Amino acid sequence: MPDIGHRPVVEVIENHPRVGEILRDHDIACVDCTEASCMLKDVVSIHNLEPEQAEELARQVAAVLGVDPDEVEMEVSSGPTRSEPSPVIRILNDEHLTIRRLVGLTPAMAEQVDPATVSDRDLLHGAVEFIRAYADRYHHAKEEEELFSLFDQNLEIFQVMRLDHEMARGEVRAIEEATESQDRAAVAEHLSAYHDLLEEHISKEDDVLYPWIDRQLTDHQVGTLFARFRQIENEMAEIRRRSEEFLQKVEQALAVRDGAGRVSGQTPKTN
Amino acid sequence: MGTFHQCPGSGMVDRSDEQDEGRSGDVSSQLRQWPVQMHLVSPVAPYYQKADVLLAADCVAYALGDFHAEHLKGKALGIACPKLDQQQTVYLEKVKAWVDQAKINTLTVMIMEVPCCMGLLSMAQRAVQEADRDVPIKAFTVSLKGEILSEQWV
Ligand SMILES: [Fe+2]
Ligand SMILES: [Fe+2]
Repeated sequence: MPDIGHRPVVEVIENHPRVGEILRDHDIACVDCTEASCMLKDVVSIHNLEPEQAEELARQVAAVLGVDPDEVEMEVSSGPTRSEPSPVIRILNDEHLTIRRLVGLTPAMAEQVDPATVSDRDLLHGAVEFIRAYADRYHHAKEEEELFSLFDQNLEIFQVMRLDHEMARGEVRAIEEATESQDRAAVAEHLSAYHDLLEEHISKEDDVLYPWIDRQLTDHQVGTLFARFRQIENEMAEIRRRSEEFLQKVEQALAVRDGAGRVSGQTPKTN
Repeated sequence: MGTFHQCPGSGMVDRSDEQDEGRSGDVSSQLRQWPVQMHLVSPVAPYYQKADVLLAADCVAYALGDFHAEHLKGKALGIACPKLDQQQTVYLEKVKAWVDQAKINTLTVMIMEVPCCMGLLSMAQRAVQEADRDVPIKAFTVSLKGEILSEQWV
């Protein structure tokens, strides 16, 4: 089997479902990953396995494929293992928590919010504005423009991440359009699609991509990224302030609605 | 091998019976500056400007076999002993000046595993906290046998 290590994991699993089970036994959930464009040989380094575990995994996979373990080309990642994320990755992890607060509100929004009312349309426009300002400008200024750009953009993992970003932007546009056309079902559908996409995307970044990136970053790069991140935070302080304010407002509104069925102190207007 | 008596910082350890073939490789000096002692350095010296700075406890370079190649390389250095040195408030001010005036990029603090050495890391953390700028601090702890016990962003 020539170049088996260079085949997409998803294809290998499709042809040999047992490989998927073996990976799952090693806590590697490629079977559940919808894109899984990573190559078989990269699985070990991306998931930062210990050398003994990597060797065992290669042996098991090779046995199923009927090849020599060396042909799988699974290489252990280089660089020291750092148990704590670097300060730059910590900043991005924290921003994911903020984005997740909004994402966590989308099921309640989908259920309760009716774009036929002015106040609910305002709320939906607010959510769209939050995502564009906080996730797309504030967070991606650091993540895409600064962090990702240090790496070879031809690597599949970055292409997958950028594709996710594009798809998320598409869902946000769809939420906005459905809001304007007061199509409640379409609003709910795209909020839900955005929710699922973001939950999976953020997990991929927090659990796989960021730890992998962190292991490649030199101390010097951590320092320069950190300074740049602080500069971006200063330049976009207003976005951060407005986003936090919006989140608090919506969290309150939806919590109140949960009990009372509508936003407290407001009579929904229809027009 | 001896054991610690009372103060672990000065407790005796004798490993003279342990044999080691030694390692060949890059043994050239990675020091690119003088002076290095914290009382002697000027925190705004050219070699500190925008640099990745290493603040090492005196004993670290003796304990670590690969100090030059693995840790000093590419960094500007300051050394101090948090247990014995006098007037350590001067150190605090100098670290602050590294951050605010020399605008250093990162600060790496290397200390020995003995408890009194923690003082150097605490001082560095306090200095960065009190400074106007913020820089990442990384801490290494080195064992008496010369191994890296931990490497951590703090
Ligand atoms: Fe992302
Ligand atoms: Fe992200």
